[in-house]
Amino acid sequence: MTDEHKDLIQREIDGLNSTGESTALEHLLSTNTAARQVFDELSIVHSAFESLPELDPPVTLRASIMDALPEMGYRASPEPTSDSIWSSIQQLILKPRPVSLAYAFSIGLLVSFMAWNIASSPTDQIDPALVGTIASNGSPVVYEQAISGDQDLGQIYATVRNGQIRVEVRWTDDSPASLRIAYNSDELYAIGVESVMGESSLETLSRSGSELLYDVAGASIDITSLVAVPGTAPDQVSVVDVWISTEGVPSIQHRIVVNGMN
Amino acid sequence: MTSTSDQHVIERVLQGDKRAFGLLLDRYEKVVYNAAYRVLGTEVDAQDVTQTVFLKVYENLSTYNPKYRFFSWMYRIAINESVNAKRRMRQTVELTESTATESNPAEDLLLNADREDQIGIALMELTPENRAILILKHYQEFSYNDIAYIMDLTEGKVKARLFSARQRLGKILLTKGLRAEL
Repeated sequence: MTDEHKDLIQREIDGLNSTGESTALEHLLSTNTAARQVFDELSIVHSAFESLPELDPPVTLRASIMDALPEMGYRASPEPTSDSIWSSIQQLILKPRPVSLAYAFSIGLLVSFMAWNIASSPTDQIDPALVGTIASNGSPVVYEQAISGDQDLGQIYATVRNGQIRVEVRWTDDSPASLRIAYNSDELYAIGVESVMGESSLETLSRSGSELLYDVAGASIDITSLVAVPGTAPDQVSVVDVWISTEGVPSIQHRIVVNGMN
Repeated sequence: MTSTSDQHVIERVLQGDKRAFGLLLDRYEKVVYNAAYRVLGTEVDAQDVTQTVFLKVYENLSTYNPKYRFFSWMYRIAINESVNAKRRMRQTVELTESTATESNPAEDLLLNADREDQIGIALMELTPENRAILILKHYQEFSYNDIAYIMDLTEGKVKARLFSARQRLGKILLTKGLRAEL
């Protein structure tokens, strides 16, 4: 049997032969016993693989891989910095104590530094127009902003009520997107998606105590996420950051500052 | 319906978004695990190699060249890891088992196993490289060109090795009487 014959047989198994080549092979197989035997040997392999079942990996494997990912020094995302700063500010706001003049001065310096750090850290990429304050015990009670790149991509709405911050993202663009909703406080916790409307799919990448991360596939999806506060505090200040990114458009960050959680 | 491209996810990971790596895991964990299982033959080894593969993918993500498909690049790591792991195991077995057996253990197992198991056991009679090339072609339906990239071979060598691996496995399966049942 020649190399050409072998090639003809293998290409037939792989579905690469033209009609003419298949006809030529049929003729070869009917006249050449050795070629027939080789064809049978290769064909059974194809059938054998088709009958092999797919196995599911252990359910714990994904988590163990994610936990084992090393720190690679890939460029840090901005949110942890702002989170820790806001957390520190919150501590200062929520836990005032008698202070000496020097202590007060130190706090003043610290707050100034934090304010500068917020302004100069990666979060300074936030368009000031996209930072809004809402409160359950005052006005305004609704944060409403368009998500805009070069064109309108959707809207974000946020409300606070009964100890819950409700963030709604209406993604109207055709492009797939990723959506991250992060909360500044350990006191808050993400409940998850309250509702998803639309024909597109939503993939929850991760859901931790203070963060939700989704992938949005396709257009026209309306996602409502909830974050809850176990104990309501009238003077509590919370920050919700919403990042939207899609291909070809820089990440867009919205910040919702929430005063009071009643 | 579209989904976020691998490239977009990779960019997010490289920007420090470690959790986005979970999306790549969701997409490819199962195929890597299955490929590793078919090369290595046990679930425990497949689990270990799958974890190693994804850690290597993560560690080397900044070196990924987008001119290749991410799936092929990842598979290259997966096949290398699986084949190397099998080689290491074989060396360990050779060192620890000084007594030679008269019969071939794989053939003994083959006689008593179920049909699906028989195919898996027959696969284990091949070299890890031949198993890998069969998995790439029959399990993932990679093109000759993709396999050449993944296994670092010329396309001509891919065809020749694929042919001989198929023929070898086919002979084993036919010898064991699997023809009629398939």
